[in-house]
Amino acid sequence: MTNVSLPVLSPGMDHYQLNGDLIIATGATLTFEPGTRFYVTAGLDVTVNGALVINNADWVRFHDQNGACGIVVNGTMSATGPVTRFEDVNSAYNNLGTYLTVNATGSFTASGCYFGVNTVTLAAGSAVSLTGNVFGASVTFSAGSAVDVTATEFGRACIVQWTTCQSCWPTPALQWCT
Amino acid sequence: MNATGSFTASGCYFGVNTVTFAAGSAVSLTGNVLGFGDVQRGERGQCDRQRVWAGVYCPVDYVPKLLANPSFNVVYLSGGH
Repeated sequence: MTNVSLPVLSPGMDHYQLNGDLIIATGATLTFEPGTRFYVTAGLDVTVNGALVINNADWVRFHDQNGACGIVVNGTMSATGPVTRFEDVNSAYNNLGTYLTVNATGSFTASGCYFGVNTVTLAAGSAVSLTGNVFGASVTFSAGSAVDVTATEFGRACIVQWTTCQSCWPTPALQWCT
Repeated sequence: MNATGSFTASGCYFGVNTVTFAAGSAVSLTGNVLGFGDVQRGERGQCDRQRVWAGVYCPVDYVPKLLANPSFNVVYLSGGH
């Protein structure tokens, strides 16, 4: 895959649905255009080795009945709201987990988005900038992750080591991991 | 459309249930409409007809080929690199 955009093809279109693991190769960019809806089937991952750009998409939904699924970022991911919601659509039955994981080499920038997946993990070494997002997810900041969480609201956050917190608002109910 | 196939369409309406473009197939689509597929479902001796949205199955790389073809419902992406 080189550079591909996923637009809303017509008013009659509902969504894109991922039916196989997707790897965004180094040097490639996948862009979700405004209004796009993207559904990830149970057991599948989107692995970002290149770049994933989510430009005010409508929603990204993860269905984890009988299989965990999510996004793994080794390259660059940016998400810009104000509409975009990352949602777990199977929260009751055989829920095997939905996740957004930013590994050590990854860069993650988000503003104006809602993250309702089960876990968001920001690994040590990752570069993270969060502004005006809402996290319903459990968020784990690992040691050394450079995090700016301006105006970001957390439902529950677990910090291994907090290195940078600038202008946190409202004051998140953060707790150290045990 | 299988990997060795070539498919060119313009100004057509496709009301089948699924349209599949395999990786490697040569596809050119302009100004087509993918609409409803009518299926007949029999259950316990009763039959009715239901309108089912058609779906397109293709690799991510093929999404640009779908531009300017309105009224798609769900585009199923087969993943890949």
